[in-house]
Amino acid sequence: MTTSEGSATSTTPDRAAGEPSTPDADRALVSVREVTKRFGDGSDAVTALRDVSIDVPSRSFWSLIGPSGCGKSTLLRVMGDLIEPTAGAVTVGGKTAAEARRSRDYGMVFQKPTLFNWRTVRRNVELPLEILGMNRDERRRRADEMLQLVELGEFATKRPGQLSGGMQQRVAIARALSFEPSLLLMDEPFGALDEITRERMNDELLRIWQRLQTTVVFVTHSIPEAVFLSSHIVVMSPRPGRVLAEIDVDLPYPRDEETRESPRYFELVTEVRETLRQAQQG
Amino acid sequence: MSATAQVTAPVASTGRRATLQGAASRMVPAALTALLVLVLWEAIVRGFAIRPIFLPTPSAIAMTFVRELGRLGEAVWITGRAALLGFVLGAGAGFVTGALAARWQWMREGLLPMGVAFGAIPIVATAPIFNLWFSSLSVWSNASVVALVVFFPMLVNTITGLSATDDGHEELMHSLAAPRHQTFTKLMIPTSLPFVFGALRVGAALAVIAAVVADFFGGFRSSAGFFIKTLMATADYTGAWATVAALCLFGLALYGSVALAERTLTPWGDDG
Repeated sequence: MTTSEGSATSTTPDRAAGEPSTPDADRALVSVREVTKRFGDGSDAVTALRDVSIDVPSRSFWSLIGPSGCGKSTLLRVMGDLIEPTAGAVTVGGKTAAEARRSRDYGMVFQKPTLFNWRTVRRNVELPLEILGMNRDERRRRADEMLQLVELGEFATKRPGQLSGGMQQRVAIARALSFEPSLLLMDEPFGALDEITRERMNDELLRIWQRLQTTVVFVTHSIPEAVFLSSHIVVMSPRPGRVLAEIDVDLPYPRDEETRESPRYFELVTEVRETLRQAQQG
Repeated sequence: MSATAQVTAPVASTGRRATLQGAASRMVPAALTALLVLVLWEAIVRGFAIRPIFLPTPSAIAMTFVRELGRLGEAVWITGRAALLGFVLGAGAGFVTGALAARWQWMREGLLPMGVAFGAIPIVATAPIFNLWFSSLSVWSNASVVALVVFFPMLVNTITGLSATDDGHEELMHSLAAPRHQTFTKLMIPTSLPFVFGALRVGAALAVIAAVVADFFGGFRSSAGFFIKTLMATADYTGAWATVAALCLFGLALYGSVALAERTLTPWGDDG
């Protein structure tokens, strides 16, 4: 294993937040300010996150990476208002996380597809639209459009139990995007898939992201996945979770198989790996 | 939705026709077993020359059944309508109460112990009381006995089913800021359906038992329970057995209807 000492490093110092990370970034859509999250209290308290601050620009693709227990999922859940931070605050387009959730700014994709097995694939994608009170024809049109986008058009009338794991996760992505949320939060969505399928899903996700021009925050523990997908990677340290480094990924989009074989891709993978290793030792 | 599901091809869909064929082929062993029992029964009664007082042969019972079809039909109708009415009322009340209890913690805490107490009441004890309350010649008397018996399993299963929602599903609804009533109708109710059908299946069996027991405490002279009592008193044992057989068929039909409704309304239960 070679070290990355000689390579050009774009690692920014700890909490160098606020800088635009991609060339086309205009403003921070998501702003995480000194978020701390403790679970439990007294001597049993576990600090999952300590003083985390990041700024995710609009239309960027950010990954949170780190070893198990580094609080990357916790951070995502704080951002999505699924849990409340012990201290600090999250704003999304100027709104608090709770306001953003109530105005349906979040599309969420979890590690499990969390589809309703009593609904057909199409009606699963329609679920957020039903909650929004959209009429039947419009719902159906939108759902079919989304299913086309994830290339599952001909499976609209199947039930989730009749699909493979990868296909179920694509339905979950279609559902999360159906109501055009301003922010897509993804919590290790491809963690349960094999490597080959995962790469194919990565290709799909990038294609969709580029077409819809949405903002993505993506949690993963796979280094190649983070490098291939992201415009920016946040490397987190184990307990208590802190931002260890932020790495700009300067690989041009659109990315494909060639990207995966390019020297710069390998350099970046090595750089992230080295950073993570230092985190483990430190 | 297993995490390790295959990735490439969709799991082969068998389709409804194949499922029905599967159900039919699963019934073959059951039918053969039943036939074997009847043949053995016939052989033992004849072989050991057992007197019909103790045990008539299945063939004698079958002949009585056919001969008395009209009267048996009426008896099963009188008892069966009380069973059906009580089944619908008890299941409905159990579901509604369970839904209210699932919604409000204090109701759950108040109702569950009472539900358990209701469930522990012996049917035999309630029948005379309901006969007193309602006219003993009213279908409501026996139906109430049945409803009481069906109520309890439905209450417990509804509470269990409505709170059996998947954490991931709850988070999804939360992330979509779904109002409470939508979480109830779109997530909790569908989640509870397999539990509700479990209670209906148990209730279908209990309903027939309760209706017959209620018959024994007065009521209609042409009811199946009363019929059995009278036939026993006049030493027409084969007739009593034929009545039991008729009740058995009614019970099977009720149970079968519930099972069919379950298959139709919760088809995802067959998914791998």
